[in-house]
Formats: sequence, structure tokens, C-alpha cells
Amino acid sequence: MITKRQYKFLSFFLTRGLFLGTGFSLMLNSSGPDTLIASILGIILGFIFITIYYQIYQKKNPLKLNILNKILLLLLVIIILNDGLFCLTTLISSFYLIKTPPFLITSFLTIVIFVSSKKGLNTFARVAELLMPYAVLLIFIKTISFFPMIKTGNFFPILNESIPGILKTILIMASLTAIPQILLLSTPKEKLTFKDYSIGYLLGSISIILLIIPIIGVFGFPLARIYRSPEYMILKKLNLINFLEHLENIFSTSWIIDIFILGGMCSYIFNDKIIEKKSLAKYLTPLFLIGMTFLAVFVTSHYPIVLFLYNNSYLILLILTFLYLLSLILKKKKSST
Amino acid sequence: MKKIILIFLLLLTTGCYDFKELNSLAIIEAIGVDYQDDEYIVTFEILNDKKLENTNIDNSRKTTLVTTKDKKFVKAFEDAIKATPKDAYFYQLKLLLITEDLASHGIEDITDYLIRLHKVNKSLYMVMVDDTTIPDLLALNIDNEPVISTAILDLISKNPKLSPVNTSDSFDLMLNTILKKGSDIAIPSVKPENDTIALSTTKLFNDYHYTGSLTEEETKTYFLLKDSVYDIYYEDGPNTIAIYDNKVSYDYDNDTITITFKAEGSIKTIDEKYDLRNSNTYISLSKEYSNLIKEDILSLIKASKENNSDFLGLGTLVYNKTPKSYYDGCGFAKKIVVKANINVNRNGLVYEVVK
Repeated sequence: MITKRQYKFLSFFLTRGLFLGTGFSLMLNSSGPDTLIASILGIILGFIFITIYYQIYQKKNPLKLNILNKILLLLLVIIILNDGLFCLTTLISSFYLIKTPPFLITSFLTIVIFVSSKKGLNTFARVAELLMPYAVLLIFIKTISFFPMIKTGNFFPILNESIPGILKTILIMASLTAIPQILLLSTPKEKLTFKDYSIGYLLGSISIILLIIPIIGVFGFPLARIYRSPEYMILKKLNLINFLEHLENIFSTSWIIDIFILGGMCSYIFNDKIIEKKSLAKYLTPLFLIGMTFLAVFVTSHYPIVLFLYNNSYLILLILTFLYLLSLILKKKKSST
Repeated sequence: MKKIILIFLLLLTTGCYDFKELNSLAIIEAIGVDYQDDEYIVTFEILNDKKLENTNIDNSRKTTLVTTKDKKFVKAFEDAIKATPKDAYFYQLKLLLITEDLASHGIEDITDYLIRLHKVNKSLYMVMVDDTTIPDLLALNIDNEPVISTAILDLISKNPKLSPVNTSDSFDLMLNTILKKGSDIAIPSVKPENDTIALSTTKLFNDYHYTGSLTEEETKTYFLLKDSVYDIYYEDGPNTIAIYDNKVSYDYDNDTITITFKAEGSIKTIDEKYDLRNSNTYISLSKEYSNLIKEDILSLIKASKENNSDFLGLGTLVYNKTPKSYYDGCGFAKKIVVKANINVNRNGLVYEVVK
């Protein structure tokens, strides 16, 4: 059985999973130095989203999906997993393994996701629990190390950016942090209380804020705005006790963990909620993951698609989530009439 | 089956695909860029290893220089990479050396290219070279300093008294200063002197272009405002004090920029007319040096205005507080008030003047 603590940890990792590669640079481009204020407001909006999800799901026990629900959930899972995989593949093939074919990078990640999710959600949640102290340690060291380098002048002028830009950042923050929580709500919810679920979300969001602060405070928004991956470039500034440098590769492993957990949950949802029949899932889940691998590699090698997803994936996710929740509400109304 | 998968994963996922032997790398410590006769001249300083030392290159040198030139910076840079004996490795890059000719032409081309390149370490420092060419400087033979770029780096960043650069002057953060409204950059310069390398004056920029330099006195004042110093000497006739524990704050309110400078001072030499057992001596010395430093700061601001280079970031103060009233050069148009407070509170080991 999944414990309350494991639910919190899963929620924590899911909150962070979609931020790599798209979230930070898109928000900085939209709202400049107001990104900090807008992202805090985005957390509040995201909290409202997750409250709404929880209220809808609480009424259903167990969760039975019809064809429309499954199609919409499948589309959500594909977009979420694809976002995670192609962002991680782009990061690894741009900064670490430049000559390694992207297909190798993505395929080994999907193999790990498949093997770990095959064991069932209990084992997977245990893996998340084991990885949590390492993730927390990395976040803690990053936070402490950047503080001496922060210049308060870089956070000004405040509330000088356009209102549409600030609103866009609020939506980006809310959607990229809150929408993956839908995956968690499809799990058996005997022990999943709103408290566990929301604490994980808030802690995950705070960890994102703890990275936005040094990105703006150390780089300044004119520089942070032009970087494609400011969350990686800021790690290059890490210098522990004036002695240890070039630690960016170690500290960026926290994103690999985030994407791994996100991918595992997507694989579980496909296996248990979309296919449902174990005899079919045994064959379809590996095929699904192979398909996702090819899709992520295809996307990575076509820059117009990357740019389209970079600019619009938060909107696509919002629309799909809205349609999915609407279909659940309508299904409930239909079954009660 | 699990063991086979595990072995398969271990063999293929440990990053061996991108593995590079250390011996196959040409570790580049410094890049030099000059601009002469409409051409960019790019120089790489490459660390020698044993293999290179076994070639016909002079065995006493620890570095090798590669120089190329082209009308376009990108082409000159790529040609230099091709001319490098092994696989060019830029992650240890520490210095970007430029000349006055390049700086006058503009550094936007090289800045745009280097910030975009993923393989270049962005925490390098930009330094101007005075009175010589970059290859000549990098080819100097200095005792106890086999690698010239390391000698320059130690000079600018590891000086115990004052460091012309700190981590906030790295290349990428310097670009942020250029991109920011109301700020310009000021970089240190070095020159050859008496068979070694010495610090020269600070060079000023407006946007991406070199506009002038500070005198030695102005450079000293600039360092006082920029960062913590230790034991920087200030002379006034027969008296000399050492400044330490300096703090500066900038404020903008009601169309007035206020610069408040505070520091401690310790007496190094003193005229015999002063009585060091009398507290009034310290009060009068504090007042005297406070006025001296205040005048120096005002003259530094005047130099900043004359060279049209807002390296103190006065315009940014205005922009951060009232962005709608900002315009280029507005920092100089505001009333500037300087408050300097030097507290002379140490006299060394003796109370008497032994002359």
C-alpha cells in the first residue's frame, strides 16, 4: 500500500517534472523581473486547480473511465510524457552527450521507466521515497550556495512589465505545476487525502521558486531572458566553498529524477487506467513507450515543432485538462440522471 | 535475462560514446581577439602536454599559441579551432584578452558568438591588453609563471589588497550589465612591465564600444566603490592612511542620487605635528580624508560623464525606481550627492612619530 508520505513525495516530483526546458525561460521572457511575483500568484492559481480536481475525483470511488475520458486522458499522458522526454533529451544532447544519438538517450530513459513502473505503483512510490533525500539535498545545497551571489537590484523594477505578460506567467506556472497532479489522482485513493496531495504540491512549487530567485538575482533578467535553459546555466555558477566548481552535471540529476517519476506515473496510468486489462497492457505498454521514444526523438530533431511546443504546450495542457474534467463531470451527471 | 539487460545498459549508458581521452584534448586557457586592417585576429593559448613537448615546439614553454585572422570573427575562430593540434577544449577557458582597436570597433560580434557557444566556459574574464600585442604578451617569459593567462588571472582576481574583478565580473554577468538599462562595463587592463605583467588602468565602455580609460587615481577610487579592499593607501602630503572595511550604498530619491561611502582607516605615516594620544587628531584626520575621498568620488563621476560610460550604474538606479522616467544618460542629469565617512581609528604599534 502506498503510504501518506509516499503520496507527498510523488506529488512533489510531479509538480517539478514539466518545468525543465520550457517553464523557466518562457516565464522569464513573458514577465522579466516580475516573474517572481507572477509565479507566486501562479502557485495560488495552481492550488485552486488541484482543489477542483480533488473535489471532482472525491465523488468517484472507484474511478471508472468511459471511452471519451480515456481518449482525453491518453492525450494528456502523451503530451506530458512527450514534454518531459524531449526536454530531457534536448538537455542531455546539448550539454552532456553531444555526439551520442538522441535515440539512445531517450530509449534508455524509457526502458528505465518501463521496468520500474512494471512493478506496480507501490514499488514505484517506494523508489520515489528513496530518491527524495537526494533531491532535497541537491535543492538545499543549491539554495544555500546561490544566496551570497544574489544582487537585490536585479529584482527591480517591479510591476513594470505588461499585464498580459504577467498573466501569461501565472498561467504557465499554474498549468505546468498543477496539471501533472491529475496523474496522481488516478491512483487508488484510500489513503490519498487532500492534505498529502497539497503539501507535496506546495513543496514542489516552493522548490521551483527557490530556483527562480537565484536565476533572476544572480543573472539579472536581461541575461536570464535570453538563455534557452537558464535553470542549467545558473548551475554553472555554483562554486562550493570557493573550491568545488563545474558541479552543474551533478546538480542537474535532480531533473532526471523528476522526469523519471513523471514518466513512471504516465506509464502506470496508461497501464492501469487506460488499458485496464492486464493481458492487453502487457503488450501495449511497451509499445506505447516505444512510440513515445520515437515521438520524443522526432520532436527533438524538428525545431519548428520544438518551438511550437515551447510556446504553446502549457495552453494545450490547459485545454486538454479542462476537456477531461468536463467529460468527467458530464459523465457523472449522465449517470445520475 | 535481468543480468543481460543490466550488462547491456551498463555498457551503453555510462557516457562512453562521448568519451574523450585527456591526451587528445587541447586545453585552451585564454583567447585573444584583436582587430587590425578590417580583420579579426584570434589567438588561442593552449596548455602543452608531454606529447607537444616532444615535438619541434620550444620545450621550455608550457603553452602553445595558435593565431588566425579573417574578416569575420566566426571564421577566424573556427580557423583557429582547426589549426589547434588536438580537439579544442574550452571548458577551462579563463580569460578573454582584447585590444583597444577591437574594443573601439565594438565587441558585440564576439560577445554574441561566445555567449551562444555551449562549449565555452562563460565564467571567464575579459581583460584589455595595453602597450603590446596579445601574442607578444602571451609569449612573455616570466620567472615562476609558466602560463601567462594564469599570471594575469592571479593579478586581477587573487590580489589580497584589492581584486579588480570578482565573480560578478565574469563574461556572462558582464553581458547582463551591458544589456541592462543604465549601466555600462568597465574592465581591467594589463601591460608588460619590467619583464613581468602589471595592472594598467580601467577601461570604460559605452554599450559595446570602448570610450576611454580612467587614470590611476580614478581607478583606485573606482575599486573603492566597487568591492571590498584591504590596506589601500591614501596619501595627503606627509600623511598616509590605509583604507579597509569599505562599504558603499547608492540611493535615488526626489531626483537626487546619494552615494554614501564608509570605510575604516589606519595610519601608516603621519606628520610629527600630530599627537596620536589626542582623540582630536583622529577626528581631524577622519574629516580630512573624508573630504579627500569625497572629492575623488566626484572626480570619478565627472570622468564617467566625460567618457559617456555609466559604469557606476547611476542610470540603473533611476530605472529601477522610476522606469517610466528613464532615458539614456539620465543618471548623469540627476543631482548627485556624495557622503564620505572615513573613520581613522588605528595608529599602528606606536603612539609617537619616530623621525
